[in-house]
Amino acid sequence: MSMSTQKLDAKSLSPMGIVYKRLTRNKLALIALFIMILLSTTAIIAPLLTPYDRDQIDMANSYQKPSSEHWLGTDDLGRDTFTRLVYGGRVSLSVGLVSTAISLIIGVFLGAIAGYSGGWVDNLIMRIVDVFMCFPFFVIAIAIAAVLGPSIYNVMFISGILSWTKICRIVRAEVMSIKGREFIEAAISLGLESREIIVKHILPNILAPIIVYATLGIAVGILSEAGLSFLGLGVKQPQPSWGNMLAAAQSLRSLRLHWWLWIPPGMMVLITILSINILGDGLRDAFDPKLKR
Amino acid sequence: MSKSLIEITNLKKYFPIHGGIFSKKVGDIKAVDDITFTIGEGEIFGLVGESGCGKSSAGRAISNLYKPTAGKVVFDGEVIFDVDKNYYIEKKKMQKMRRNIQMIFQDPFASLDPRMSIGAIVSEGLIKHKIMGKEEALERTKELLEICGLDKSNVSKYPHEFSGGQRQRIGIARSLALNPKFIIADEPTAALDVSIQAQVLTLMQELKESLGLTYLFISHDLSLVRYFCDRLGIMYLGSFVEIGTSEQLFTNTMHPYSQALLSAVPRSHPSEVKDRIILEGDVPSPANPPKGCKFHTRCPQAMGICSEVAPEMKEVEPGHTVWCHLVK
Amino acid sequence: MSEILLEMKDLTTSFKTSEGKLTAVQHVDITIRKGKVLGVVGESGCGKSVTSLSIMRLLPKNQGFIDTGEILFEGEDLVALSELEMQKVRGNNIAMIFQEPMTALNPVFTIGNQIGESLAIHKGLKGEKNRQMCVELLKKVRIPRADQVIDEYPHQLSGGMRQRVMIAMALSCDPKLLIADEPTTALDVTIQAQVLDLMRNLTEESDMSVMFITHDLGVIAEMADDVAVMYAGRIVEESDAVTLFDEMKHPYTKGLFSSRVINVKKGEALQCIQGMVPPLNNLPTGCAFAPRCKHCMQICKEKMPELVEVAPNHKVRCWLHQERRENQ
Repeated sequence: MSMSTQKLDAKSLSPMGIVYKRLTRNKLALIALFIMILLSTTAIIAPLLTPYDRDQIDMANSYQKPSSEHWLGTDDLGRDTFTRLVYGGRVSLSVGLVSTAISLIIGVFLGAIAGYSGGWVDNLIMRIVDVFMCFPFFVIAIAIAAVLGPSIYNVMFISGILSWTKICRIVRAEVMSIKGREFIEAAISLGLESREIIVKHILPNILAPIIVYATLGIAVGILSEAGLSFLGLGVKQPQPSWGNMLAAAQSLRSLRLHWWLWIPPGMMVLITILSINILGDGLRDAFDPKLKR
Repeated sequence: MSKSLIEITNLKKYFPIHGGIFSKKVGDIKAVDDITFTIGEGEIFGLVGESGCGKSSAGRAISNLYKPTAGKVVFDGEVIFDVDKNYYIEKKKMQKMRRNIQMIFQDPFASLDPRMSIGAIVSEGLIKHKIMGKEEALERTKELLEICGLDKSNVSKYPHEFSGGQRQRIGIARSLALNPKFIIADEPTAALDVSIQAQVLTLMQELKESLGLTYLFISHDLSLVRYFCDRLGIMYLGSFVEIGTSEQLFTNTMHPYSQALLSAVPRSHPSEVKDRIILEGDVPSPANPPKGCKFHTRCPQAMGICSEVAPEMKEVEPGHTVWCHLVK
Repeated sequence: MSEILLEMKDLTTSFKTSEGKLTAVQHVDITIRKGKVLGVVGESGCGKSVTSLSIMRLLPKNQGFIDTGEILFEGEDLVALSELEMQKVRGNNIAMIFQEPMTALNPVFTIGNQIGESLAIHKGLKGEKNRQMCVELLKKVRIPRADQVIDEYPHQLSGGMRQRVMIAMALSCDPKLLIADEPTTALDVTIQAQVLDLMRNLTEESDMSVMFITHDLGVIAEMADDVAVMYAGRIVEESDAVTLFDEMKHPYTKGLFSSRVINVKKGEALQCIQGMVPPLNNLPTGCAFAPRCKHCMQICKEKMPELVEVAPNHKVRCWLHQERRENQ
């Protein structure tokens, strides 16, 4: 009997409802989601979490070991590492989000146009994609950063502008496969215009790969911020980011003696990327039509 | 014959084949190669043939879903396109026109948007054309679902909750929403179980009578069109080989291809004796159809002339035309 | 009655799913006679394919299980065999062909490679001998240009040709039983006629038995010596083909028969079966067909009827006929 009632519950579920239900069944993905929510909240309410100022220099207390006063010790200028870590999270996460948003806007827009219209429009857009894909990411990123100067906004821009090609290709392929389905022909038969068809019928049906890609794109954004900042081309001191905190601790002396300067930001990058990737995998499984609810 | 609703003249639909490094056009797939026919008001016209004969492309070219290569289609007195005169109906006008021409598709799993509720799917056209407000459209949707044999409580459900036959009913409800005059049904029962096929056919028959619809019924199943259609055209490699009323075609089958198709229908009783014409080989590629009569490579009665000259249209009795050299 | 090749007794097969246990086949008894064709008819979800997969022991691992029953193949119980012993039976004694030949053929190997491989494994043929045998097999299934086709890849062949290649592969080790799961459903009518014609000849030439699974009563009329009609995991009627078509008893069989438009005159209403196949996890108590049956009585909703012999070699699972027998 319980089986049939369960079946009744499962009825009347919208496709998104099914995805949600499947996702909540995946324990690992839920843990990852929880960590991401936790990290985002700490980043947002950063000032409430710590009594110290982000850039407050206290030379008398430089290189302090972790203690009850300074949970994660202090750095060479006596600034509180925990404070900088929490503030750094703000930078890293927002770089990840904004750069992904930029790449999504460009990629989905161009991909949808290319896939739906086909012909020379498609050809033109795909050749542009090819050109962009030829750029070696870090070389170009370093070049642009050198020209524009290191700043958090430039990192967002660089990371976004260089990573839209993949989502563009994914969207194009998905649009092309959906375009051939009969419900699109039915929509044309009903007299809908191309724009309405793309927005009402095609985009909702390719939401799954877009969401999965966006999740993983945030991880890429965070990593490239860390990389650029590590090279000194990203976020400028004294503004902290996980990347430039790592960079600041790269002297041999710090590596050997001051583990609290580099292990925490390193761990944060690791945990964040890991959670995002697990969540992305979980979302992909939840969206997979081949799996039953 | 009653007043004609749709006239198709010399319709062609070629799909270009691209090849080489610069994807130059190297040839054409002649999916629909010069077909002419008319469908009278309230008539069911069957388009029959094996896969790849161009029957589905023909349906889509007629409904202007595919851009035609050549030919002219006149619907209810209005020219939809006339390629020779380079006339195409305006986009806005066509969108209005589409209300009158609707389609029912073969694959009930691909023809409904999986992310939309049944209510949204069926009422989409009504809302698009601002025929009704949202509330009213929902009421109409419920009505349509009941006409098509589904419970009206289904409006808030999603396609994945339905079986193939039910989905096909939803597809039919959608096509009826705009009160069309003409419905193109592309193998609407091919993907369904036998017992469900009969249900859907019966429903289509009832709707035709109560709403005064005209159908273009595309199918590969000869026994189905014999039962369902008033007139039919048998297609082979993009062209007609024989057109006539279903009575004429089944009692006085002229073209060897029609005869072979007819004899290939499985018998209805194990002890029935059937004179079977087994055709040799496969259908040639529509990219490179045989010269002369397209059927001569498989025709059991092919003569010398068949491989050289394409046969002319010949009328054997009123309304019954054949394209074959055997017919004098 | 001729010798029995395979006897299935009381087979019950179930699947583990996220929604619990689904019993796909319930208490099915089947006998396949030597050199005869057993046709198994039913609509999707009736358990006909699961029955054949149970014989082959090819149920999906850790999902499908044979709960009870035995499958005696020449006196040996297949259910009790180890996986290794079963591998020898598959291919050597029992071969199988499927609906979609393209997915069953490996696209990166030539036809010769694929047939040759099975010849090498089962017959130990190598080199030139192997090749000769391949060509011979291709000729046996009437593939034109057999000596060229052997070096071609599956994608170069049409659907009908691929199905012939599948049959050639199945025949490569002279199986005693060929299981054909809807082998012609994906083919066009004229090609279906070719393949059925071929299969009929092959069974007449050798004493191979065939288990032919289909949803099409017409194909059954063409092919089968014996017929079993399945509905919702059970056999509802079984007999030899002629008797079945002459004196079908079960309302479902009758419904299937009259759903075929070929059996109905134009203009007459189709007698269709109302409703749809119940989902396996929600079967009605009593007879599974009761909710769709025109002759449904009180007892039908309460108790599942037994499969009883109404005439020699003619069994029906229906209360209508059970009552009659008990009264006599």
